[in-house]
Amino acid sequence: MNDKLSTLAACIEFGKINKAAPYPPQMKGQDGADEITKQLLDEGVAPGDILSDALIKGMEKVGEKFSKNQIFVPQMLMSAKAMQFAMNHLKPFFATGEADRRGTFVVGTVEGDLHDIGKNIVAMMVEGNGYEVIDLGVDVKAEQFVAEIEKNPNCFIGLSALLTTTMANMEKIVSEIKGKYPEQNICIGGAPVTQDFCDKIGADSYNPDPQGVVKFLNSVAVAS
Amino acid sequence: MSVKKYQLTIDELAIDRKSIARLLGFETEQLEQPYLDMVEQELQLAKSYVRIEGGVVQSEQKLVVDVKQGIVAVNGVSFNVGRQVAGYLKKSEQAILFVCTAGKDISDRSKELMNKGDLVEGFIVDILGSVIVEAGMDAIHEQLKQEFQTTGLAVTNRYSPGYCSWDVAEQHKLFSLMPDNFCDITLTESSLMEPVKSVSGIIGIGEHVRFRKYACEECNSKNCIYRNKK
Ligand code: B12
Repeated sequence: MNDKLSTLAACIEFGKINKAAPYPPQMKGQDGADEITKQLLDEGVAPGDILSDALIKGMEKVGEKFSKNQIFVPQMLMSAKAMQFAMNHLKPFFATGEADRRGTFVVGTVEGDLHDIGKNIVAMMVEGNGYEVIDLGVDVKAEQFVAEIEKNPNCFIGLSALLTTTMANMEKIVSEIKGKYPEQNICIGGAPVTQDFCDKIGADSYNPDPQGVVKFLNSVAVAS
Repeated sequence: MSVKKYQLTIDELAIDRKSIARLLGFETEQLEQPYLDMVEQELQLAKSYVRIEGGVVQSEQKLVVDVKQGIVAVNGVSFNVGRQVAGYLKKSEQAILFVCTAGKDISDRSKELMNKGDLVEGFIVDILGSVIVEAGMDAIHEQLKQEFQTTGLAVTNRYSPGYCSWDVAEQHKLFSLMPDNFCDITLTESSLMEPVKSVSGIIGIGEHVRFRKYACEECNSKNCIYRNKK
């Protein structure tokens, strides 16, 4: 395998953004995700291979380490940022269809709720794992999700709520979406949300952290 | 009802680095580099734009507490606080209702960083907002404690709608007992306070109440911001 691909995977894993970034210390002064992605493209490596053989590999390592409590959310975000720098070089190829994302994730904080940090973190991690993310922001109503499904019929939906009062709106949104699109995969999360609640309202997946939702998406994205 | 307002700066607060580390997700409660530098830098910057505002309303009527029903009544408005909280307020003679906010600017700063792609810094600033408002309320709580001490009264811990089986929807009742736009905080229909970095609740006062230092050991809530605080 191309050495540079494994170096790029390591940049993602350890959150080495670009040459100028001083972190992590053991990679100081070396090229980062930004430079190496560009070099690989210049060398003629296919964008799809860069994505699957380096970027996603690196993110998978991040996921594993997070699951084992070896790293925490800030380190995960550092990797997501390195990923963003790499993805900026790949974006033109997604537009032309030369490379494909794993799927589309439409995410929002539910109607009545304005908390967005948790939702943002989830959005960044899902994006970092090779999905296109459409972030509808906060205070998002059922109609907005439905409109997005009409545009992206195979998308996955992600709902976030931080208060028990707004969890009620989550229930409403799930039932409105499922009423029209029973097959649409809906993922939910946020501090007060539980698996029991997920079962009760008929959503497809509850996860306490972004890693869980990535796993879920990968399992259904492969299946479909 | 007597009303009092407080204005505080970050320099007047005890900002616990361990709480920051814990909320950032470091199970070790230890801030590693580069995160430590980022925290200190953003905290320093926050000093220039964050003004913490708090306000308390003291009830005139005697606090009515029904532990069995889990109800407390403040100036004729009854709250379903649940048995646990009612028990803690049992010996209180009067109630203090409070709000405190770290303001909107800190959330705006977090969004600005996120939008720029500075994900870690944006997350850190969001968490700083949470820790600052709690530290602000700690400081106000401490001031209240000392003020009442001079008149021979003690204060309880503070209790908030949304914790310990007290429904967050009762925020509306709480706000009905406070002046409109108190400390520039508004409540949405869904019981959310704006600015987001705000807290609210009740404190009991009385001759025979006590402040429970080891409240955390007695409580089994796993996701409380006060958890493990000394
Ligand atoms: C910090 C904190 C605060 C801070 C700031 C809040 C904020 N969000 O900005 C302050 C101190 C201001 C605060 C205030 C209040 N809080 Co508070 N707070 C917390 C605390 C301790 C952490 C929240 C946090 O910032 N976490 C970090 C972020 C990154 O995590 P997150 O948003 O949960 O997102 C993660 C996961 O949930 C998940 N996720 C999120 N969305 C999604 C979506 C999908 C699809 C998936 C898969 C996953 C997922 O992934 C994210 C990343 O890991 C939680 C308890 C807890 N441990 O979670 C209570 C908590 C959220 N608060 C609670 C309450 C009640 C309040 C108050 C109403 C109390 C009061 N009366 O004052 C106020 C309300 C404030 C308001 N504006 O109205 C309750 C809410 C439940 C309820 N009863 O409704 C909680 C759950 C505590 C509890 N009682 O158990 N709070």
